[in-house]
Amino acid sequence: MAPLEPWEKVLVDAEVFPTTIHGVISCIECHNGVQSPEKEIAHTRLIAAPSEDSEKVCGKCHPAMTISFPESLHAAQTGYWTGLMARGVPPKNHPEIDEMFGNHCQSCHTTCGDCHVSQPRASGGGFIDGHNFEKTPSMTRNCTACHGSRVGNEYLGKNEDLKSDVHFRQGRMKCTDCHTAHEMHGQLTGCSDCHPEMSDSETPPPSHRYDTVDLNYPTCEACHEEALDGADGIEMHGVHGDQLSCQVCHSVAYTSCEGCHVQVSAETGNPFFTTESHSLTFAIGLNPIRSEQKPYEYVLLRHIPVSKDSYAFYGENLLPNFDAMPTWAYSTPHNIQRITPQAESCNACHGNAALFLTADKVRADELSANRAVIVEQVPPAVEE
Amino acid sequence: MSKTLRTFFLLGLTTGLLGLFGCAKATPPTEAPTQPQPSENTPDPEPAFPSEPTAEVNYCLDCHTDKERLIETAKPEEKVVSENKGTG
Repeated sequence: MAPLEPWEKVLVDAEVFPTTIHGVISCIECHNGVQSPEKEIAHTRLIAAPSEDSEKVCGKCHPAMTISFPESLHAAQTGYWTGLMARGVPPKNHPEIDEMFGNHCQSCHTTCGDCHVSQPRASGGGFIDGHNFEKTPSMTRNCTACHGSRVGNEYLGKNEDLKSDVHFRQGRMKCTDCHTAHEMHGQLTGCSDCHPEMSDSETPPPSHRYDTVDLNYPTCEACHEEALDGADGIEMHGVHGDQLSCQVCHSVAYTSCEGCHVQVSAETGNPFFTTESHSLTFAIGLNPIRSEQKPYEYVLLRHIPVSKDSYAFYGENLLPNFDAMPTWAYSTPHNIQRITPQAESCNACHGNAALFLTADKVRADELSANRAVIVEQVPPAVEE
Repeated sequence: MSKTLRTFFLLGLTTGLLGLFGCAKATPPTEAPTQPQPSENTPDPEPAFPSEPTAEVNYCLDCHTDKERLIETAKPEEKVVSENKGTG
């Protein structure tokens, strides 16, 4: 995505925008400032990104979304906090963790405008289309502008020698075809289908991306229901059913990262990160978040770049409970293929230790953290 | 005029005056003069000085739809050289 020039970022579409529903609202209604031909005066108390206060601004007309949005994963970044709280020791370490979070993680916080009006600020900002509001965010200028280095590259086939995801290649599907507005806005629905005593609004927000019972969250079986028990005629779907997550057989290699460290530059005062390495991996491991919704015994695991001293710049031993969560995390790589090397035959997988996360593939200082996901015994080869 | 006649004359005059004032309408307390308040149907008077622009003049849009003007006035962005190393 090419960066926009400063003027380009704020150029309003003179023809279309004034004719849209948002175009009839006065500029200062949302952006503050004053009516003046002088730029400096006009920008007095200007609010460049009014949807930072989504309930006050967007909520006037879209209350159903803005009520739940502040607790959505995009706005609250709860997934980060779940990891930080588990590995850190609350509340003693909070000031250092808070400072670190504000410097390095907060920039990924998303507002309504970051998806519906502009490119995310974390990737340079600027209007997507002359301040015209987009109901559906752009896949490449919004979604993968942030989710690019792993999910975006996998889905669009940017990893060398690996094809793009079949849903993109053949189905031309966009992120929003699976990740619905309800999910993005944190609007939980469907809970009361099974729990009539419970209203959807009473359901606590998810603590990370896979923590949900929400029926609107994407699942493969939402479209491929017949694959669940082999009703589609594919024998292996019946044999492995709920033992393997779909990605175990239908994903190919994906990126894992190691050793992320964050600090503030002594030279410029800007926060920055350093990752030790990244590589294409494929690791079948034990499911660390087994539940009714995710009953699989085996799933794919991606190494996340946290390490014991990731935040050493901010203080000593800020992650004293480092072993509380695995560093090889439950993953759903977005590079689905119908036919994959591991699914070519039974023994392409059975007895093939190279595919499994065995102890010898885990760093010695992370063995304890990954005990729950390491495969002790690779499923043996079978007679074909 | 005899004393008795003068007394009757004064009494009659007093009674007449009291009757006149008693029948008169009550006068409201005097207020400071104010500007007439425009009613909903009264058109706004022409402003004496140029003031807030009307809806037809939108300085925000005038500028933000004018590419050349934005190029002239946009504050150059400080180029931040990323110090990040590795995949984020």
